[in-house]
Amino acid sequence: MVSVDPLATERWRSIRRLTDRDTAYKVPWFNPGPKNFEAVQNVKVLVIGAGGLGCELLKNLALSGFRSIDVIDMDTIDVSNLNRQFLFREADVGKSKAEVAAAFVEQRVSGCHVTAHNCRIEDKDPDFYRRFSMVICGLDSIPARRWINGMLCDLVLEHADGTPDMSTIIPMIDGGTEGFKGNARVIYPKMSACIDCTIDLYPPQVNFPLCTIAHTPRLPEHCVEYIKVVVWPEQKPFEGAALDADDPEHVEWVLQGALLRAEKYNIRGVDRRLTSGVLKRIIPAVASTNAVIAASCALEALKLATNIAKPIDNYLNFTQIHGAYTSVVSMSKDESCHVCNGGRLPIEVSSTYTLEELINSLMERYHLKNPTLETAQRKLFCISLLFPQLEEESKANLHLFLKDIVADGDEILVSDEVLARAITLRINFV
Amino acid sequence: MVTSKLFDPSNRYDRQVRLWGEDGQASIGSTSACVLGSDSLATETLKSLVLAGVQSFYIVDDARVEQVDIGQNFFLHIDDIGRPRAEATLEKLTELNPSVLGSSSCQSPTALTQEDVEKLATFSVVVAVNQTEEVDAKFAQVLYDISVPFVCIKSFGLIGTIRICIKEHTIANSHEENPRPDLRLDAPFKKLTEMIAETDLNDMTIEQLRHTPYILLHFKALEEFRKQRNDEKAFPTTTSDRKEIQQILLSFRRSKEDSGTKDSENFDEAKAAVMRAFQKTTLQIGASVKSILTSSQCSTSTQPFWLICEALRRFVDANNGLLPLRGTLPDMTSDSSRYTRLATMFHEKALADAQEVLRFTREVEKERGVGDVISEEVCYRFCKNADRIRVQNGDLLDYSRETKEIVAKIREITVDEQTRAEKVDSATWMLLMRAAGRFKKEKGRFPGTNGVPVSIDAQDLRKRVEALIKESVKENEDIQPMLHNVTDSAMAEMCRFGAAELHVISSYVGGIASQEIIKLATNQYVPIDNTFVFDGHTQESATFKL
Repeated sequence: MVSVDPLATERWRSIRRLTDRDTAYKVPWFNPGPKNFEAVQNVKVLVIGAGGLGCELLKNLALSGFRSIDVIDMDTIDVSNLNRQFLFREADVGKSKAEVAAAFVEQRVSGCHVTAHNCRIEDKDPDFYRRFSMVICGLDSIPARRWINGMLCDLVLEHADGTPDMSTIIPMIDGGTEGFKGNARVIYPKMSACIDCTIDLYPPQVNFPLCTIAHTPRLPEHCVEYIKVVVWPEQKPFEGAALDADDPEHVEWVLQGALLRAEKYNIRGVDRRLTSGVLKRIIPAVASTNAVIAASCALEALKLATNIAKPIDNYLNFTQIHGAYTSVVSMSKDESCHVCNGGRLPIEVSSTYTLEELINSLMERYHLKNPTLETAQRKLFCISLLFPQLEEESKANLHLFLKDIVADGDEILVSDEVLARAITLRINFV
Repeated sequence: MVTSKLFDPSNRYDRQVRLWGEDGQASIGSTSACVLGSDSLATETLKSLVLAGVQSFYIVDDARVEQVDIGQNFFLHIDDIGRPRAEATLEKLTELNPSVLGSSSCQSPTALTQEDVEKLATFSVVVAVNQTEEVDAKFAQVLYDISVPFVCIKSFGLIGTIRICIKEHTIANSHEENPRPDLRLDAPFKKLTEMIAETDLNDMTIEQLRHTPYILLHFKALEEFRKQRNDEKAFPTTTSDRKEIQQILLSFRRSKEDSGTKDSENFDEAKAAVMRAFQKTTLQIGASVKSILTSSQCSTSTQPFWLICEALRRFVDANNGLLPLRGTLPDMTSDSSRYTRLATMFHEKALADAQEVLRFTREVEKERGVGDVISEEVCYRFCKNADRIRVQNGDLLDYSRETKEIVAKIREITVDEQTRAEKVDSATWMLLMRAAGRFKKEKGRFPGTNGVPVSIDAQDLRKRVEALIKESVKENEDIQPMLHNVTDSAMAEMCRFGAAELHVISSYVGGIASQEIIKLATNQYVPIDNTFVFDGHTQESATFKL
């Protein structure tokens, strides 16, 4: 009798080799069989971002059998994307990334349906996100990551006994890249370490102090920042338009100004590349790192959908400057994380603790930019263009002792642009 | 859409040029890649090379597009079924970047004659993707002797491997992370000495003191250190010496009148930088650079890298064991004028050193009978990265020698039973990859690919594993210790994989391989030396030198 390969002409043969056959290296609930592949074909997944990681993710998911993919991205295509965002061509410059990417993948991978959403992730409501079995992120922004992380945590319902309803947990796979480094992680909202649990993994953003920029510049970057932050608002070129770092004429204007300043201070190194890098906070990027990290993410998505292998637990680091190196570490859930634990964050303060000290400590702990603190009765600290009348009072409040502002057991609500949701502090005086 | 006279097509490469520079981009732009094979691993590798802007690529494969390819390969469309795969993928790859030239041949890599192979040796790099060992060995033999890099990439189910074969690879800039700044604390040059002499911390206002760049503070602390020991030449060599320097630094601080605090950013920076800054520079060139400068290549080769290394060696001899000054100053709290004065003098000294190296280079070029090969720009850049030069050497690809090394590693594996049951060691995967290749060669198909139950194919695979181990050890040596570490589960897993070509694995391994090829083309960053194994189960990787 001659054996015949049952999958000889099967389009998805490679995946079926793994879904249909048993393995010693499985998750306990793996049952070999074609149903595992049907599962992939029937779920809806969401890809956030259609850029360097997003393009790769769409390709990888489509070629792993996923057929219902949604992709969301508010950006338009730029020529500098073309060295890695391979679903786009020169003729596409200016068009919506999500739309072009979706159309390309649909055309190339027959049977795959990709729905584009040319908008911000914040423009979609919980009902939108609820539909998906998995969310895979290829974002370039930490606040955006925190936002979707918060959204998915909010979608998790609890049983009467307080334990999470597993059927409402939507796994989030998150990838990030920079140059030749990257990371990929798997998050089970409310169950495992979330973005906010590990917020300290992200280094604080480099911001040049204003006094250096204005009075003691040393680096070419300081010269560029000076033009951006001081000269442009003063001189209001281009009929008072806001500085648009994507407009080559604006960049040129800044460059000329920066060159003059550099000359004055005898600083070398100002050129167009440096100028646009500073203005746009450009992160260098290559195709290969995005390929690797997106493949890592999609592999985990495939594992979660089919159970063909164990998902990583739970955070992968990758670097390719010296050789190629990847390692996986298990990040722990932070039991005091305000995002995935819900409820109030009790904090103990001494009687000499001032509002300023509280704010500084919160800014450091949660990487805040410009927090607003308020109680049920009043706003304690709020610097905002929307409430200019509060600025003076807020600054005066900084020196006050907390014991004079709130009572023991009172709650203070802390909100900030980087937080997915406000933090509620319960103050306990010790 | 913004169309302006400032729109420059080269902006396409902006994000990557920020990493490897215009010189790196130029190297990529003159790279031609020959790829044997056109499966998804090959096309995923090519994708990133085309996007990066290589000059050209050439695909050699006789395969025709089948149904299964459509489920794996992004560079194929369902309408391509039946077409030569090399042609169909070529079309969709060249689309990615209009400035890259692509062509293909529908020959089978296994049917290439020796003459064909030698013709393909004119490429900058040759890549063999999922080829047989015979093809790999045939190409390796030819390419090794003429120093053309040869990269063998394979994937099988959740496993991927990359082997970089090159006799000698020179690296002009390793881009080492967090290198020590070159501040010459033990060997200040003339202008720097002058500025130190002009600096009197006691004759400054508090404002000036707090804006004194920490490099000057370090020099002043060193002066005090020497005074205390009554030794002009004293220099901190131990941790406790450096702690002394830190104490001296802190003693230079003065309190601010209004707040009474002595805290000052420049002093904080100075203290934090002490451990790394106070290391000797003279006669302390790093071991890797030293071995390059003393190698025989240095004294005889006419290759540009070695010419300039010889010039570097002569510079080091003539300059008390010092490399050319790097010339960049780390950022530090300072007033503008003192920082820029320092930055300028460091820059000018670096240029002067590079000029001296260039003079030596011209000498060497003349002695070795080559024209002016090294440009001033290349020399300057080389000098800037003189502490970052590296050389890698490799042996000829030889599967049986390498299997011996792999089997030796397998013998050494000592893990507890639980780990042995849950994870497969990378060396074991490598052996299993070879065994699968043998299986294919001997039975005409890969294990797990024709409906035969995995358990039966696993038995046959085991026979190949045993044969490979026996070939790798002395006659009569007991192979049980090795076999013990090649578990039945691992063998069954190989059969389960059934040579599956998972797109995500092709993409992962192809991504890594493409960047390794770019490293080889640009002589920047350090390539894998020389074997990389990836396990999709754990998403962990291992590197071996075989």
